[in-house]
Formats: sequence, structure tokens, C-alpha cells
Amino acid sequence: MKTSMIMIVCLLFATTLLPVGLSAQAWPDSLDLVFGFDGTGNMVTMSPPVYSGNITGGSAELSGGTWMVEIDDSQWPDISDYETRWNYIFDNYYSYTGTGWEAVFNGDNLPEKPHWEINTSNGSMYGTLVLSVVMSDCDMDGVLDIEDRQSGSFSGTMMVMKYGTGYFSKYCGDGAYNGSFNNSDPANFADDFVWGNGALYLIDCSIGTEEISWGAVKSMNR
Amino acid sequence: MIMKRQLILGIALLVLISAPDAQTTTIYDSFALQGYGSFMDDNPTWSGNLTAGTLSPGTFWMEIDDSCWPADDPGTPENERWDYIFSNYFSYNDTEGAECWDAFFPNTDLGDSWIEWRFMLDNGDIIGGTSGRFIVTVQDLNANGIMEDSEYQNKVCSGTLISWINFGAGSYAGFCGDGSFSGQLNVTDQSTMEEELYVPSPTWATGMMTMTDEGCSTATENSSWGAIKSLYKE
Repeated sequence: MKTSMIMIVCLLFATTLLPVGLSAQAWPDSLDLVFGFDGTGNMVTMSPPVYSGNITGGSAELSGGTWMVEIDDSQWPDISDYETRWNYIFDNYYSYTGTGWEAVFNGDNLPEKPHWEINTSNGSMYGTLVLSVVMSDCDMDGVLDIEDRQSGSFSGTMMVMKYGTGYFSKYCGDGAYNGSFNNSDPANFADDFVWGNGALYLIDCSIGTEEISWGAVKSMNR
Repeated sequence: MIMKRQLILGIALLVLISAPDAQTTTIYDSFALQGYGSFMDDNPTWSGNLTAGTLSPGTFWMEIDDSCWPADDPGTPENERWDYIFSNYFSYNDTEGAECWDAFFPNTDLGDSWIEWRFMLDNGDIIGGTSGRFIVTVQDLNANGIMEDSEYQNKVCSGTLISWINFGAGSYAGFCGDGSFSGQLNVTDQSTMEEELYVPSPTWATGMMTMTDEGCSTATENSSWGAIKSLYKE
């Protein structure tokens, strides 16, 4: 009886709590991570718009990883006419601040909040985010010139969902990111090149999972 | 003859000021912030130090327009000011596993002005302007749709910045640009609701500014045109 009990516990640990070859105990209950990133993407020519690239620096836990952000464009004009699609985005999301243009993409003006993921050799994390973008009106003429569209900045906040894998499986939390973008040919809707930094503030959210596992063990023992 | 010489001089001056040429300078700067402020203050302003990056050492401030916000009435149990902020700036997102409140400052639908900011470097350089949107996100950790004090205590924030040439001084005179930051906004004093704005970090400066001296509109350019017109009239 005792042997089978131990075997069941080990099996549960191996299959439900720990990814193969990893020890969840090795990582702390809370974890603050910083990261640098770069990548490319395109809101006009891609449906759904996806920005993706590499983790370029920061905390060792994310080293060598990749990232991806996807925006729900199901209510936007399709990509058959880039001009129409760009005009829709500009008219519906951007507003003039007096010194530039600012846009927010979030759950209030999209069918769903944009979502993100980070994949590393240590596991994956997923979640939602909000995105704010600015483009300066350097000559302050109130007209979005091609030069104004060649660069800008962005920032946002992130929610880390408790559906990660690997070492990250026990964590949830929040985070924030910021960066810059360049576009070599906005008139022809070239891809944006983006780069920036971010931080994730993770806490152990696996208590619910553990309770379920322990409950199952107790049930089997009975 | 004198008028012609003045006109040629004026045109040459204008060409020197406005010609987009190889002398265009673009500066990529970094910064980290640590400062304090409170939404409960009149003219809520976060101020503190530039703690790392190419823009440090120095100080900063960032002021939110609260001209439409009510003051708290100490004679009532409620905090009318906080209630107003919560109702008008925070919205709940119920995505399963990522429940949270997102707030966006300013709310231009209410007539808020854009947030103003300045970075004042110890070497005398200054940059500043208005921000895009300042975003604050509060996790609903127990997903019950009620914002508890413990949930508001620690939260994340981000912002975008537009730098006006009008506020550039020192090395940044004649420069304009944009930038961004992200970090945490954590309550440090429950009684005053003072909050620390922290943009990491002393070792990894995550805030970014891109400044250029190309194409920036200036009062100087206007006066140059005015001077040329004035010269031409003579």
C-alpha cells in the first residue's frame, strides 16, 4: 500500500507539477525579470498583425528566448487594400496631441486584448497586454508626414497568465514594456523594426494546482 | 544693394537652419527613474531622480492634469476624489487568468490636458514636453472584480513621451523627439496614498529617448522667417 502510494505521488509530481528534467523547487516563489528585445511586425500588411523577435538581453532566465505579440484585427478592413486598412487604423485609433499622434490598442477598442507570449529553453509564458504608440509631429504642422511615420515610441503593461510551461508553470503576475520603432518605407507599408526593454514581476500562483493534486492524492489514498 | 545683401544673408541663414543634410544628429538616450507622488495631491506630480542611463544623473517631474477632479470631502466616509478617478480612468478586463483594471491618463474625453514632463540633468541639459498615455494596470489577483487595497498596492505602469524643442536646453537645444518608459507604481504610504514611480533599474536603464535635430519646428524658425520678411520689406 505504502509503495503504491509513493509511486502515485511520484507519478503525479512527474506528470502534473514538473516538466521533464526540471525542478520547480529550484526557482523562488517570486521572480523579477528584465529583458531587452527586438523584432519586426506589420499592422497593415499582416492579418492578424503579429510582432515577433528575439530576447536580446536581461535576466538569464529569459536568455535566448523569443517573443510574439498578436493583435485582434477581426473588425479591421482586410489586407487586400493596404491604404484602406491604414486609413482605418489611423482614423480609429490615433488622435493628435498637439505635438504628435497617439494610439492605444486595448480591450476597450478591440474585440479582445492583444496577447503575447515568450518562449525560452526554460519554458513559456503567455498573457495579455495593452499597447500605446506615439509618433512625433516634429515640424508641428498637424499633418502626419511620411517622415513622422518613420519612427516613434511605444509602451504598455502586461498580464502574465498562470498557464505557463516549464519553470514558468507556477508563475503569474504582471509586467510592463517600452521601446522604439523604425520604418524604412512607410509609404509602401514596410515592416516596422522594434526594439526595447521590459520587466516581469512574477509570483507563485500554483497553489490552486497543488491543492487539486493533493486532493487527488488524498482521494486515491482513501 | 544693401537690401539684396541682407536678403542673400537671410536666405543663407535659413538654409543653414533648415537644410536636411549629413549634419543631422540623432541621439539614442536611456534612463531609469525613481520618484514619488500621489493621485490625491492637488496637481498630482511625480518627481524624483534620474538614477541610471545616459540621461543620469538628474531629476524629473511628471504632472497630471487634475483640473476636473474633485477634492476629497473629509466630512464623508468616502474618498470622492478616488471614486472619481476609479470611475473615469479605470476599466476592468475579465480575460480569464488575466483579470485586471487598466487606467489611461489623460482621459481626453473629459477634457484633460496631456501630461507634462521634464528631465533636468545635473549638467544643465533639459528635455521635456507632453506624454502620450500614462497607463496603470492593477491585477485582480482573486478575480473577484473588486479592487482590494492589497491589489492596488503593487502595480505596473508605462508611458510614452514626446519631447518639444521648446523645452530643450544645453546639449538638447534644437532637438525634439520621443521616448518611452515602463516600470512599477507602488503605494508607499497608505494614509496619503503616496506612490513610488520606479522605472528599472540602476543596472539596466530601460527608459528610452530618441532625439533628433532634424525638422524640429521652433520659435527660432518663425523669428527667422519674420526677420527675413522684415529684411525684405526694408
